[in-house]
Amino acid sequence: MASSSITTRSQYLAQIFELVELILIHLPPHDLIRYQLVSPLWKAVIDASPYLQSHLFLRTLASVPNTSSPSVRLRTPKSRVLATLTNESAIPNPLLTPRFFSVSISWYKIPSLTITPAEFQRLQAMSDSSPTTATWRRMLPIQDERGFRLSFTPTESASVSFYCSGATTMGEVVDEMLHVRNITQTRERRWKENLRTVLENRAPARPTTAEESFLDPIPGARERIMRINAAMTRRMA
Amino acid sequence: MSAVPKIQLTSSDGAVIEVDRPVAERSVLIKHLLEDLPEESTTEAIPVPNVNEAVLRKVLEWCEQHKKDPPPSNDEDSESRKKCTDIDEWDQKFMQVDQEMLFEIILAANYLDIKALLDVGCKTVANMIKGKTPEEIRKTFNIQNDFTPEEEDQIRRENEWAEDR
Repeated sequence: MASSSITTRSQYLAQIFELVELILIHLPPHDLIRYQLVSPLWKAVIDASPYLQSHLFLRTLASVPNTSSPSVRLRTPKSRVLATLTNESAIPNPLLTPRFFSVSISWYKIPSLTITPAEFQRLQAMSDSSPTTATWRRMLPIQDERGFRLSFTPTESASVSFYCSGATTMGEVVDEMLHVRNITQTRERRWKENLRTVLENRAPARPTTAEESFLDPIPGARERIMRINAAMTRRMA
Repeated sequence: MSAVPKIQLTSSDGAVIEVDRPVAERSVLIKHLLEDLPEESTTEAIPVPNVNEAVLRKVLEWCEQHKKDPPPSNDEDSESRKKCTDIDEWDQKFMQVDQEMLFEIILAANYLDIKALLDVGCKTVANMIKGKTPEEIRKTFNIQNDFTPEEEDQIRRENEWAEDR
């Protein structure tokens, strides 16, 4: 009898939308991601709750209504570096950093995302292996309504940085990076081909008559100066 | 100072419990009920049909302990929330009950509209399920896995990336 009571009560509890939301709000994002698999109701709660969505970086904090809400902002782990450098609300996505990028704060306090070549490779591998509907594509790399600055090196000889709005998703960032890398690679290949043809077609490095007349504009002047110089040297001796 | 006014509550299993009115008023439901009732009829026992005696006594024990807390405001801002992100010591001891009782307390707090108690209860459950697998969660709450294999596979593939780190 008692066990059947547990069954019905716990089932009942886990089926009340608001109560599931109130419980999940206390869990770290990594658990929330996995608990989408618990049941269709739990997935619906996670998909529909603005607080859980912002907790999962699937929605900007700024777009979440502020009235008597579970305070997501306070429960999201803040990077220690950020907390000491700025009072602003920059919160890096704990599911994506430090695996795919690192965050620092520039002197004017806009968060700056740096993606190393190794991290870029990891991002591309993830992009290639996951479906287009993968959750990370819809996630914000960082919660900060002011936006962020992104820096990466598309090729060995180029470095690129650009600003993104606070609503920019990781999917958009990766697409943009791959696009920039392709452009940069094409441009560098063209430049190298062009340089090679220029160097190959060039005449041997001997001055032409035009170049000689440029070096010696008054015919015979140079020889006369040389003679005078020699005479001076002799007299000095 | 005059004696604290008392009221009576009747649990779902018919037990009558006498309690100080300010203690019972931690419940927004009872508070509103008492405000709406005419003065003379507050001597009658108020029925609490969804909560049994054991749970009601437990909830009232919490209310007694927290009767001096500031009343919950409607526009609770992040400032007042900041102070209660962790469970205080007394509440932690209070919540050391079996799972059945814990769920009962949460449901009662939800029904009686006692926000602070509901919050503590949900935090306790969250600590309990933190880091578990979806399968373990289903067991804890006795939830059926109603996903079709296709749906489950879809969700799994969309979130695979978060697992390998």
